Amino acid sequence: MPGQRARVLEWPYTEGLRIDEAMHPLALMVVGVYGKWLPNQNGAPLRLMAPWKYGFKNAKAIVRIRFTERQPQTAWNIAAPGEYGFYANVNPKVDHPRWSQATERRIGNNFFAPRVPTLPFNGYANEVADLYRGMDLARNF
Amino acid sequence: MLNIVSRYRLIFKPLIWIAALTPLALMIAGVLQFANVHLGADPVREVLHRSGKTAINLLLITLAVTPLRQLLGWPHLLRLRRLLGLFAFFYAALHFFIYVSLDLRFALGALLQDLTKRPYITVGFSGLLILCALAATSTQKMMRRLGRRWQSLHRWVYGAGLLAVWHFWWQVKKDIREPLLYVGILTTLLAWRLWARWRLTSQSAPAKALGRI
Repeated sequence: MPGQRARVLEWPYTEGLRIDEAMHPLALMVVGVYGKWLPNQNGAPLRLMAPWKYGFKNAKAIVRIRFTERQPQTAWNIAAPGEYGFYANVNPKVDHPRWSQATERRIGNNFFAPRVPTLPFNGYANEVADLYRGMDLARNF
Repeated sequence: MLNIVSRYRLIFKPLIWIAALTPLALMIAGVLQFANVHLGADPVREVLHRSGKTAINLLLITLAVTPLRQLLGWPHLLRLRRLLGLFAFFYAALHFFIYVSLDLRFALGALLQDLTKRPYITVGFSGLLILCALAATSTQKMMRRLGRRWQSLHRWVYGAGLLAVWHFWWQVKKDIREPLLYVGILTTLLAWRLWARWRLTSQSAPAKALGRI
């Protein structure tokens, strides 16, 4: 991967999920996208896809999976702990420290399509909100 | 053979028009999907970034005019500075317009919130305000009317350069190599001016008088 020549992040890229998150039916290991095999730039051959989380949780080109007793460190959390948490659940109410995360532009819409409100858990609240019951999602971002 | 003044007017300036309008033409072609030009998965973000980057590029090129004319001994380069500066302003204004129209959909409440809550937007907007003032006072008439104050007003362009590069830096997630390059170029251009000034003031009075010429 060309971008890995610079030490922007601690390579290799690491991501983590709680076991119950990883066991959730919506947490997928994917080999394709839009009906075709994953292109390299999208993370071939194997990519994590947790659709209720921000994109950086969906680690690409996975080469190793480990089960750990403690919450592992994750690449973006190491790089900028104030900006990227372990959970990274899509949450329009919690801004990134430098920009709002309340609205989004849908990729694939036409050029003049307006932004739309971002939904909690990226629209999968009914399916996954239970995983985080009782947690302060503004602190566990 | 054309004399130097006509060469600037008939050759160099038209070339700058063509070069400076090329990014705009490519953006328009991309929006219209003309001639197989594409803007990628998120076209609004792409035109937003391109217009901003072009503004910074042109601003730095404008700031390079004075050092270059002295280093190369091409005093006539000065004839291109206003045109370059106005194109920098044009792209900065376009960048802001794209952000307000395509991104914010003219939601003025959201604009006010961004301007006050998002420091990188505050910084970028301040830079644009400076460029507005400079563009408005860029005519011969304004130069004459403002006299000596014109130059001190237009020194604010250094501030605009700093704010523009800062604005870029502040929205990069982690890979700061590109904004760092811009910081390096801007620092060089501004340091050259400090150095030139220092050299002038540290010289003897007669040399100083010469230097002013």
